[in-house]
Amino acid sequence: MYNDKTGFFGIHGIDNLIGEGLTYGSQIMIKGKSGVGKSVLASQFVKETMACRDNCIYVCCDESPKEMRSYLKQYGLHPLPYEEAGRLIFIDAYSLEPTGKNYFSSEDGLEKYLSLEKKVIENMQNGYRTRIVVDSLSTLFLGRDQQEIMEFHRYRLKLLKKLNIIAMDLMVDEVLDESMFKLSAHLYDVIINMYYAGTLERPIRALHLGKMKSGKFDSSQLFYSIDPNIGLIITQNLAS
Amino acid sequence: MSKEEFLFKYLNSVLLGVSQLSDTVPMGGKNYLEITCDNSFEKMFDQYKNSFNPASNEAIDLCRAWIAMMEDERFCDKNDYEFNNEGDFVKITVNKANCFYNEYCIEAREKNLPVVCPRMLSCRWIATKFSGRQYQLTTEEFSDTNRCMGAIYPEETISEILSVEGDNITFAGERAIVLSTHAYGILIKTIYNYAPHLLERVLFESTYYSSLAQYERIKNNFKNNHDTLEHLLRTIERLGNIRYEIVEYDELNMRAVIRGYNSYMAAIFKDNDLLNTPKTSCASGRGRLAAYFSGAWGEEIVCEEVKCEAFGDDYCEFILLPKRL
Repeated sequence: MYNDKTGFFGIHGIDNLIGEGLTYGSQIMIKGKSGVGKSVLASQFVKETMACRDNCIYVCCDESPKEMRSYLKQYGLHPLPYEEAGRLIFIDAYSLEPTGKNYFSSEDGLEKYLSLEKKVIENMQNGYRTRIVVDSLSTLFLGRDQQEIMEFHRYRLKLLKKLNIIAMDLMVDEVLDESMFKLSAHLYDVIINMYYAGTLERPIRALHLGKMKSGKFDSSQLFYSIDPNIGLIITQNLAS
Repeated sequence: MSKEEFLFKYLNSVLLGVSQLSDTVPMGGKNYLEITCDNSFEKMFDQYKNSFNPASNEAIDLCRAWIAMMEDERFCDKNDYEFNNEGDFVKITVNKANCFYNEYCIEAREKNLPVVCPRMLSCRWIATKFSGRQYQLTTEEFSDTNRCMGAIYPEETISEILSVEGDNITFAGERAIVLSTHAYGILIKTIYNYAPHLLERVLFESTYYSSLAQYERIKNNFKNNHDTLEHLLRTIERLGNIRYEIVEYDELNMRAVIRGYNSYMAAIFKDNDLLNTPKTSCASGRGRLAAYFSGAWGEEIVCEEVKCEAFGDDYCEFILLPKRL
């Protein structure tokens, strides 16, 4: 089915489960332990975003933009032409020293982050739709109090919805406590929980997909592997 | 009109007809025309070879003997030809005033059809036949002067016409098959149904490696990278895959922008319901261009498709740049 009103992940298996796709303004949370493949999924999402000719803002909190660029190249997307065209912008929230106008220091308040994100979105007025990936949002929350986080979270997601931006926020399990995840979860339209299944000796990667609000589709568990050139490959669909 | 004049007029019409045909058959073009002419030179030579007496098997002597043989049969005047050795090249100058191919030559150029100079081409043919080396012909831009200039030089011939050999069709010496876009679409759809995550990779890599081999086969036949790439892109166009246009070419900084029109791949993606949303789809086009430019520029070049007919754009647009950047 051909649909230009909604967006997809660019990962077969997951895209099948979201039916007609994500409406612009949807919010996605990707949750999982370090190394489970969240940034790989995000790379494929960026590749899909570029192929659909949307804009993408990629907020690098856990790795530098340079490392993220090489990830993208590995999965078959050279970011340079898109950066030159102003369709792909990296926000550096990783480096210790300022690296340019799109730099955010972890010492600054979340309000400052909001203002930077807003400014970058406003500057991307080129007629294309926009998606934003924060890798990972949980890092941005480190050392901040719960109330500040929740206020920021609600305001930001409302704003992104109003602007019809698809937002993908990555969250690392170990960084935030479980109560924070539970509080945050209801703010998202789609949650993907990535984890290791199987045994300790033979761990298998799996993900669990659920849509929290509309209930248009059921939660499903998918097993996947990570190919060094392709990215996430859904190997078995155990949809209930 | 004398009988001779009528025959020359007819000869020009036949050549023009072959040019028109060669422009429409897959993998036709100039190569097709050259092979047609070579076959006729062979026929002529067989009939008059008793008067062919070259001083040596050097290309220049073979050319002179060939023209002398034709003069014996009153088919031309050897004073209309001038041959000079310049290294491996034999420079040829032909007096245009007495050329009875003028009518064909002018009309074919006006109609933008493939055109060859049968007089100079016959020199290439005779040199190739007896020197033990393959020769190519290069001709200078047609001008209003009374002379045509060209040169033959030793180089492998590029055989790339689609021809029938026994039960098989061959292309560039290899057995070929002709697949309708409908049949190819079903093949692609089947891969998509069973392994959708592999489709892009399969299309990209299969075209990348076959295109790299194609580049390797012909890379020594052209004087510079741009000409080699132009030739390769025209070949793909003549196969009916996609018509390419080089919009930007900066070899020094390794950057190029190529546009593609009427992409068969974009059509296949649209026609076979392979897209859940409009997106750039020409993975095989990216693979082909990445291979050609990697070969030509001597380092790994990547290709990004930033516009696509499958998206509803007027053309597909590809940006080539080094992976290391």
